[in-house]
Amino acid sequence: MSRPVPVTVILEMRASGTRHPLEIVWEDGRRYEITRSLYLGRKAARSAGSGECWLCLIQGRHVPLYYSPLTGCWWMDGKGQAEAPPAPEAYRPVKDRGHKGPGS
Amino acid sequence: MSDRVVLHVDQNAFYASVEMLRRPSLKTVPCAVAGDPVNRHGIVLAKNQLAKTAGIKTGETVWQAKQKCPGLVLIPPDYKSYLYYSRVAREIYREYTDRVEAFGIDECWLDLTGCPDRDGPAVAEALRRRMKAELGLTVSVGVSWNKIYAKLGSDLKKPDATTVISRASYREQVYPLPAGNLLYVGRATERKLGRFGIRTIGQMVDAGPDFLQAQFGIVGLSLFAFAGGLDQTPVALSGREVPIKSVGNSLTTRRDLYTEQDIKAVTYMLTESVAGRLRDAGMAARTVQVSLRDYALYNFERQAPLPRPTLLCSEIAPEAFKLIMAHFQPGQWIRSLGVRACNLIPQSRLNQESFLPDDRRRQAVFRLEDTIDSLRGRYGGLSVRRGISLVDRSLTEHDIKSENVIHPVGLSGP
Repeated sequence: MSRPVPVTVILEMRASGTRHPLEIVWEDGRRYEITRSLYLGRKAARSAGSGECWLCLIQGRHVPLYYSPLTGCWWMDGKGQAEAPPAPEAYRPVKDRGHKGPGS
Repeated sequence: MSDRVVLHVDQNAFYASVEMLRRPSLKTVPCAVAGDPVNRHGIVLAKNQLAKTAGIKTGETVWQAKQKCPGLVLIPPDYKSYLYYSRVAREIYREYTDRVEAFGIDECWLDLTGCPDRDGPAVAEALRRRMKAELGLTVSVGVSWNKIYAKLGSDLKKPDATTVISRASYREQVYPLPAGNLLYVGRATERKLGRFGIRTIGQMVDAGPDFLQAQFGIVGLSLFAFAGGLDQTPVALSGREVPIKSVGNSLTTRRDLYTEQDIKAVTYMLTESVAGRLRDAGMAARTVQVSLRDYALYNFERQAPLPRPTLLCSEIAPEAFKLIMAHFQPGQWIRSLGVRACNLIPQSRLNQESFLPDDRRRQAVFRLEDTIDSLRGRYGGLSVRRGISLVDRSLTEHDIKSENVIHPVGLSGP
């Protein structure tokens, strides 16, 4: 089971046009340094959504970091239960889409 | 000469798949992407596998779907995301060939003839694998030597499957299928064929071109070619611009329109979008067309020439409004209204400098509307609005131009 966790990313934009994530801020505010990162291109996430993916070395473990060019959001795969499906009667007009998932 | 290699790639339950991709919990419940019933756009646009099992069909109304499956979760469509995923999918297809022809938002034909990778089934497998790994979406692929059989193939096995229809096996695979499976055989054609006892594609071929032409006219010959795998239509080069023939917008309003003021407000709102899109395309219209549908779902269209070619809302809208009022019966309640500009010419043929006071005024109006376009481009379609649109905001709270989605173009071209 995994759920998408939105993260804040400290990014280095190089003159060559490439982006290198340096640090991420987890949802609880903890900061993690990215020792090394490798750009993998487009990839579907294990939790939800798809986008550009970097494989990051954080505290000795390789973890994917995703970026959605559609929404500009960054997220990672977190442990835990995915959100519950919406109730059948909830039809929300487009203006106030409730969810804030990676693709929303 | 070796045969063509044509692939048809169909993204399975596209809108619903995109929604499930970003909210995987939706996979556990029957769900459907549908328009807003409050705004009377309530039809099912796409559904997931669970909803399909419950008997939900694309195109049926939300209340019918709810009757079949009370637990159905309805999701509003988000065209911006669908267009994004559709564009990325085409980027992947274009890595294999430059001949990628879109057929709607979620279907494409690919022609691999003469490409380095021209092994159809292998490319089909690669595409399926990549679409799943890179986008998280599944596709079904049909492989054949013509567009019609390729499309037929992609419809045979769903989801996430490849179907190859080869010259060696097409008689066994295609001929027993119902005639209605063939592209361009709709319900009316199927019924007419049925009257002659023609129920399968094989029987269409057996009937012969002369018989089909006698019954359906020139279309009969096309139907025969489609059924027998003789279709030669090329797959268009990607990026080839299809010349625009008309620009139109229509809207089913939240409530029926019955006063002159309501009709005027909606007509102006639609024309604003049409004129803006004409200016974007650099075209001017010589004819205006309106379409109306009343509460009994009775449809009609009327058109009239414009006094002179124009791309100004302030010139098209009064003509459209006049046309509607000339054919609108008092007591008739309008459910849906459309405005279309057609008979187009390039804008360059308009720009003749003139010192006549009328033409100078016209140029000033053009500059004004152009400025409003750029304001709207920057701050949103509702940032600058006409006074009349404030009469009833529930009718006019639409940003028609930016919500505009151009839907599939027919196989035989527009």
